[in-house]
Amino acid sequence: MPRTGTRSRTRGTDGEGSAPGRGGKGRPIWSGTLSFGLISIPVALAPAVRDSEGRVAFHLLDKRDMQRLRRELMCPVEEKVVDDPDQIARGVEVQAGQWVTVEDDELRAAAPKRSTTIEILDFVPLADIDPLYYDHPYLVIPGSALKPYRLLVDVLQDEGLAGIARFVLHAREHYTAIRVLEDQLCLITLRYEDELRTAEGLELGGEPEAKLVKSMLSAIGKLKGKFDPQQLEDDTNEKVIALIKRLQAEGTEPKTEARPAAKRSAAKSDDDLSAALEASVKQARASRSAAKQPAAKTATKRTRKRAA
Amino acid sequence: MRALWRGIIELAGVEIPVKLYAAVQPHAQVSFTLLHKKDKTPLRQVMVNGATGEPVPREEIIKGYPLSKRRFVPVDPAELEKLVPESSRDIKVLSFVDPAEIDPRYYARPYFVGPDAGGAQELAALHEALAKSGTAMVCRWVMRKIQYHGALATEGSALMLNTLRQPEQVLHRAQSYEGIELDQRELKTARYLVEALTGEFTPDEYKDEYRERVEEIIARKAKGLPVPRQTAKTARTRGGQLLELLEESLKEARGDKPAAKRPTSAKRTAAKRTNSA
Repeated sequence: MPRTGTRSRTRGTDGEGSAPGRGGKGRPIWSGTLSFGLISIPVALAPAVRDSEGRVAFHLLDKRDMQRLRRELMCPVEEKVVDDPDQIARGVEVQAGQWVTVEDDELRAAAPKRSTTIEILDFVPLADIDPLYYDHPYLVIPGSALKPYRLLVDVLQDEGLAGIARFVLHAREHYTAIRVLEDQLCLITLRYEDELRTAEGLELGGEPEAKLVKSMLSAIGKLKGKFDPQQLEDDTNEKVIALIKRLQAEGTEPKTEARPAAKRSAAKSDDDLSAALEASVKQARASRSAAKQPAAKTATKRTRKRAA
Repeated sequence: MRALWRGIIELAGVEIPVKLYAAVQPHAQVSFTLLHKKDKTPLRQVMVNGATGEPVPREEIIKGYPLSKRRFVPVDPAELEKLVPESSRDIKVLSFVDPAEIDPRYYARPYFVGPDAGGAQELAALHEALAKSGTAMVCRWVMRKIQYHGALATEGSALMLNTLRQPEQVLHRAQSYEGIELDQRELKTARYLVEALTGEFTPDEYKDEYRERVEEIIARKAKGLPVPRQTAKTARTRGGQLLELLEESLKEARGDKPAAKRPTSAKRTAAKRTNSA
């Protein structure tokens, strides 16, 4: 099955290095084929936006010893941290106090299979897709076959169309629109109908005064221009960075060299260690036999309350 | 609908008090609670010290900027608080643009805008002015200590304010098509193929089958019925000669076309949804 390759074809247009602890900018997150009819085009998907950009990411620390914090789950009855995955179950409260628990492999059986193909089911006029449906955009990067990719770009562009495809990404099933942006294909996940609210009850008051509309039109005329992304610059982040630099320079704070956080399994007794090893073997086997199902990650279940 | 925020737009010497409402909500999913297996007690999230594993009380938690994996510049929350943009109800108008010029990658989150007390007439006038000029209003405001940029445009008979990402959050990529020549026959056939596969945008038919399957599992388990644990295999695609494949696809598309692929149900287009909004 296709995998996200290490051989990256992406070239970010801005040459800055990526922030510490993060993946490279615009690195592909998926690769496979894009198909319509019997045409299949090798492509990769890369993020088209990065919301973490322009926002300083902090870690949480323990003020007393400057150690980094991590999230754990605690049993409120025993007042103890529960970190053994075998002791944790996923449940839904069907009635007050009555829980139905669901096993990982039961969820896995129901989980959408990781897509190896983005299959365009049909094409629709681009103008028919209300931007309200647009959720998250990805760049569709051509692989070895540039010609069919270009062919699709040209046809979509000329006809003003977008392709609609069902696609599983991050263990979630999405409907997506594939459209042209800057002479390339872009895949945008679409919101489901149940995510959209209506503007009911927000009706605007009747027929507006013609004179008022006229003066507003003239105000609009004065401020009319090309869309300029530079107007969207936000300096909050720069202020935060300046503050950090100042604090660092002032040296008022200890630049603590914290001890490396002990690895979970190493910190435990031998018994715990062998149990942890056993669990990893089990997990490795399970993931090999069920390699195609990305859902219900046992490893993350411990730390995250995850919605299915 | 409950308003999230109240603000004031000033245009042409007129103050328009408005309210913001969420236009989208989270997708309905089965949400699980993590339980202690032995007695089904819901577990609680706690922050623990990375070295000792001991829970850390809230008052001992501070923020740190990572210089490297283990070196941090501690930042006093009071210092950060000082950087919070001054709270204000003003929605500052920056410009009016053709909404088609806004790359959809800038759109982050949509809100509906409705009139606040005494602003109904004025907002109706703004709606009409935006519709007549075919523009979107690019603006800036501070909501809950965060500065936002947005584009206000008509959405049928309503007004929608989409928050816009900062320019550095939108990633661009250069693609060269040098040396790629498209054959006229290929283009023509591809056009026919795409046309044959063109239908209506029918978002109400787009269902999340996974959610339905998970709900089914829970319903069965609640009744004490067994649930499957197996999985199916996925199919692979074919490759080959471009023109040949295009022609073959076209034949197929014209023969037993989308009708077979899509279930026919009450169709509703985006345009209709907009008008009824």
